[in-house]
Parts: sequence; structure tokens; C-alpha cells
Amino acid sequence: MIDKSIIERLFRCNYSKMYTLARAILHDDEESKDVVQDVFARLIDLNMIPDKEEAFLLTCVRNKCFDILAHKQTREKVEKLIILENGYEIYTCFDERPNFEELSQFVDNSLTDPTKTIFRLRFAENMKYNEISARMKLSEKTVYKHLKIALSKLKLHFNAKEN
Amino acid sequence: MEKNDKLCKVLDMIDHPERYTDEMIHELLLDPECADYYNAISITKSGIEAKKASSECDEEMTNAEWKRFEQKNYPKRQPAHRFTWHRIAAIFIGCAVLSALAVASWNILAPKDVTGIAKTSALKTPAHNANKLATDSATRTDSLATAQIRTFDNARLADIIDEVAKYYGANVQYEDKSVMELRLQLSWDKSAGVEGFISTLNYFDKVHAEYDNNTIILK
Repeated sequence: MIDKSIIERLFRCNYSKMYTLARAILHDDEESKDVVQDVFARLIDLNMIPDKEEAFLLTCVRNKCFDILAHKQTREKVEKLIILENGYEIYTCFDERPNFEELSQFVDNSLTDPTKTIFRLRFAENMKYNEISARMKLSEKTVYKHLKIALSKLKLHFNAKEN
Repeated sequence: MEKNDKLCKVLDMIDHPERYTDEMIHELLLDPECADYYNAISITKSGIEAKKASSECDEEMTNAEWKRFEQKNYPKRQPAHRFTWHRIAAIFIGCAVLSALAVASWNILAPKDVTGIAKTSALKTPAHNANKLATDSATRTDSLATAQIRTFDNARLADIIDEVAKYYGANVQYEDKSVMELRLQLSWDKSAGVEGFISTLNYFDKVHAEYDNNTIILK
């Protein structure tokens, strides 16, 4: 078995990045923490020290996340807005993993208020339409209209990036 | 489906997934444009979640998670043996003291012998010093330095298998020859045996290995 002090060093040095990647894939706090725990538990059993520690551990996180997703129903994934199988390629090469900071900033940089605020309330705060409507003092129909605008812009943005 | 209809459908699916079966979702997302809408929002959601995770994951959280990991994977041993030894020592000393008291009492109260010399007996001391009964906690002396680690860096799987098989005196059989050209980066602990190596190999997605009748089988 690998010495505990080595595992602890790897854990403390890499936890944040591993948890962030798991959360980006699974969109769930508790599941993401469990993934990181499982990867390190497996590392103890494997009895091997990876040469490129960060890369290896992030690959393990990614693979573990995909294993979890493989057992989830599609509707379960849609409920959490998890990427579906045809979109997995964005995570397959961790060296080129999407710049999460950029993804989040797109919302701030490319959307204007009130579209931006409504988008964040819906998808960052997970608020319902009637809650957003009450908060923004807009009709639900107007909230819906702004979400459509946001989605159209997002789609244009990602399609442009792919091309 | 009109473009606007597609967007509405995707939004409806996102807002009310309970109205959709897996089959209905698959059918909807067969349309490339609908899939694009969904993927765009999903990827953005990933960015939002990642940003939240980065801001939430501080030293306090890491410490808490390490503690949780430690408790589950490195349970503290109950110092039962120390406790038991101390109990034994305490009982022994107690008995010895009682014996000494009993003997002393007997000497005081019992009649002297003819020669006038009182019978005395030395107070018996415990055979063992209780301090010597202290235990030492087992210390783990795992030493990675003594493990025989062979590191392969971007090596062909076939070359890795050849070396490992030669070391253990095992045979090799490829059921899928395409895996021979896979390139892997791994560390092989020779002391872990063939089973340990197989276990390490199976951690890689594209490799499935078994060990049977002194043969490493790659599938």
C-alpha cells in the first residue's frame, strides 16, 4: 500500500481541481465529492504512484464521472442539464478541457440585463419561472422570452467556436 | 419544425423533464439544432458549476474532505491491547499489595515461633515491572523506496506486456491484437505480482486483461 503521507499530499495538492472538474461534469456537489474520494480510495488499492500526478488524477475523475453518467437515465441527466453522450468529447482530452472561467464569463460579457440576470437566476440559482417573475417584477412570458434570447445567443456562440 | 419551435421544445424539455420519457428526449435531440441548443446550455451550466466549485473549495473544505477520507480509509485502531495490558498490570499490582498486607497481618497477629524469631517474609515484588508492559504502537514502515517500481512512459502495450510476462515467467495471449499498439504511461510495482499488474492495467478504459493458467490474456 502507498504510504498515507503520499496520499495526503496528493489529496491536498489536487483536490480543488479534481472537485471542480467533477462538478463541471456532474453538476452535483455531493456526487462530485464522492467521486474524488473514490478516486483516491482506488489509488490506495492500485498501489501505484502516477508520474504525471495531476493529469492522471483528473483523467480518473473524468472516467469515474462518465461511469456514473452511464448509469443515469437520460431524463435524470436533463434534469441537471448534464451533457449527453454526444457532447462528451469536450471532456475527453483534459489537456484541452474547456476553459470554465471563459464559459461562465460569456454569460456576463455577451448578455445584457435583464436577459443576463434572468439567465443566472434560472440556471445558476435554479429558480422557477414564477420565482424569477416575482423577483424581476416581469411576467412569466417575458422571463421565457429572455431565456429564449439567451439560449439563441449561446447556441450561436458555441457553433461559432466549433467552426 | 420551425427554428423557434425547436427552441421552445428544448426549453420545455429543460423546464419540465418530468413530461418526457428517455425515448422522447432522444427523439427530440436527434435534431441537430435541438441538440445544439441543449449542449450550449449544458456546457454553460458546466461553466457556472465549475466557477461555483472553485469559489466554494477552500482550505476548510479540503481539510474536511481529507478528514472524511481518512476516517473511512485509515480507521484508527482501538488501543485495546494497551488498555488490556494496563488492566492486567493493575490487577497484578493489586493482588501483590493485598498479598503483602495479608502476610504482614499474619506476622503481626500470628504467634512467634520457639526460637523467638518472628517469621517474616520479604514482600514479594511483581515479577515484571508494569512499565515494561507498555506496548509500542505499530508503526507503519511502508517504504516506497524499497518497492521495485518500473515506470513506462508512453510505451507500447505490447512492449510492456513482454517485459512483465518475462519477469513473472508468464505467457501472453492477445484476443484483440489492436491493443498491442496502445501507448500507456504507468508505473509497475514488481512486488505486487501478476495480479497486481493486471489490476493496474484494467484501470485503463481501453484495456481489459485477465490472468489465467499462467497466461496474461489481453482482450
